[in-house]
Amino acid sequence: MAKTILIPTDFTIESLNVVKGALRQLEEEEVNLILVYSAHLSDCITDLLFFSKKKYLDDLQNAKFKEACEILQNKYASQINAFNFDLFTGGTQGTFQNFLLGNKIDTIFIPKTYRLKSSDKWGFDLLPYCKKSGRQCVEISWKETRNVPEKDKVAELFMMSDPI
Amino acid sequence: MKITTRILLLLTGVFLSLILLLSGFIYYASANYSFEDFYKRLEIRAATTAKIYLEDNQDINAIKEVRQSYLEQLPKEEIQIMSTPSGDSVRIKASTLNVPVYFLEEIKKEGSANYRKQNLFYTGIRYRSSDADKDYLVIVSAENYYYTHHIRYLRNLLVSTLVISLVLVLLISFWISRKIVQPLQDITTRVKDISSENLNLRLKSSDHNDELSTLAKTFNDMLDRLEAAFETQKNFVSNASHELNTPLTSIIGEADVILSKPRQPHEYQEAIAAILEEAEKLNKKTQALLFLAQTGYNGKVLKFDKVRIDQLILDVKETVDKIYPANKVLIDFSFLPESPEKLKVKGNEQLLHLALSNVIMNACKYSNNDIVRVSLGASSQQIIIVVKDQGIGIPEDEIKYIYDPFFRASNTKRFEGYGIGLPITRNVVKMHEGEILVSSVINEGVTVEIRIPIGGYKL
Repeated sequence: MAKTILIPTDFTIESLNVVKGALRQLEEEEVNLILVYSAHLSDCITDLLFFSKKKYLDDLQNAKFKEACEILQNKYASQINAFNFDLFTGGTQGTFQNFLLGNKIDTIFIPKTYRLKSSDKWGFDLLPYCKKSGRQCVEISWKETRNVPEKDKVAELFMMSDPI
Repeated sequence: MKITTRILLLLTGVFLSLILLLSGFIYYASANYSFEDFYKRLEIRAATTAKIYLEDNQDINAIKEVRQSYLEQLPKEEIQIMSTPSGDSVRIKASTLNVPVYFLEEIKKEGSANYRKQNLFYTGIRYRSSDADKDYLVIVSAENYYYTHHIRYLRNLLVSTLVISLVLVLLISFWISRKIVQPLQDITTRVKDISSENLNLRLKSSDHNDELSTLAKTFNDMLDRLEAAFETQKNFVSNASHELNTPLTSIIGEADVILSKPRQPHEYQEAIAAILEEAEKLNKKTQALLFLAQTGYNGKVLKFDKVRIDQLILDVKETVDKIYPANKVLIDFSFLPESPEKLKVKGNEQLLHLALSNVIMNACKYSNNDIVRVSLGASSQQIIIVVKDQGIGIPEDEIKYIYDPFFRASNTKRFEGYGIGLPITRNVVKMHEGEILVSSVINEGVTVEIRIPIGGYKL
């Protein structure tokens, strides 16, 4: 039975370190990965009328991020059972609990020191919800880099120090 | 044909056919309406007449009165009442009335019918009188005043509008075509001014985000690239002649000094050895140049084979070990894809070997044999090789010149080399339809990302 894990993401290559760390910790176990972005929905009725979750999530990912995800999927091909993105739009702990229940999440992996950036003004921080959820919440830490040549390039994925 | 004329003709044609269609429709519809209307009038007349002549009732007077006071006399109005003919008498009746037989037949059959002979309109009804059980045909004919006069007026009106609108349409089309073509002409005159002497001139692009401003922008971008290419060409000639000149100068100098007076044999030996060394350097440079020219030439057919990139990296490491024994190249295969299919590319092994060893040896050289990490990974389309050093880096404003042959960054004076490796690497990667990305932070190091499309070999 594959384990389902939730990982908050901000669609930067650096944040994929959590994925890397999680897959290493779980080693031989098969996993269903759900990368979750958290943002409130717009209040505007016309926005909501033409809202598509798939398109919204797709717009947030740039080509480099997608490529880095592909590299990870190729690397852990036998371990990754499913690799999905999802959007959490609720603003309360209750909705988050329901979200976990609905997606049958077993474990949450979060970055320890790294701060997730929100891509637009609607984004909010998912980490407090994760910590209060009562599920097993594993923190992953790595040495954060600032001024390196490969910042925000696919190469960054290769060069990051190993996450624990 | 000029675009102006073409637009002019096209617009005029479209407008004119629209107007024609509209006028035709209006003409036809009003003519039709006037027919219908007139037949109705005739029918009322036929009905009232029949009532008056064929019935004897008290109401007759009333109907008569109404008819006289409200139904005016139509031009050439004629009313014929007859008992319904049958058999041969139909034809006789028809010829006396000067109407076709089928008209009468139709009245008999349908109860009413219409017929038109040029401007004379006929309407007939079949009337059955209420008291005596007898059948009559009532045929009213009259000239359609409305048709003859109104429709002619309408036609004249439409024709004159057509003529006026033709003039207007021509004028408007001419103005529109001028308006459209004007910016193009501006671009043409401006481009004519640009020659190799003044490549710095640019087209004016308007603030509107339309196709023409896109064209101007694209053209400007092309000029930017052209200017850069010209610059590269100029730099190449000066750099190349400088590079070739340096060893030649020392050869000439050495020979000059040794020949200035008689010397001991060992002195000649030393001098010739020095000359040989310089000549060898010169030879290496010209060979590298030749190679650069060869790899840069696209038309050449090369044998492409299956190459496993992980194996290639290990081979390159071996080569590097021979040239820089003190190197610290770390090969990181932690992102190696599980499926070996994703490690094979279609390529020429020798060229790829050369390209990769150039990059790795540069990394060793400019970091004084510090740690160089070489990683390998694969996305769904491409194999990605990343080479990262912690050396001196490339100044930010010089990074765009690194592919120019003989270009050397300003901070590389302490290191030997003549700036041909990276251009060759880029040529090779381009031959494999790949991509090379160099990013750098000065004094932090350089990261080179080489991407080569996966060959699609099955296991």
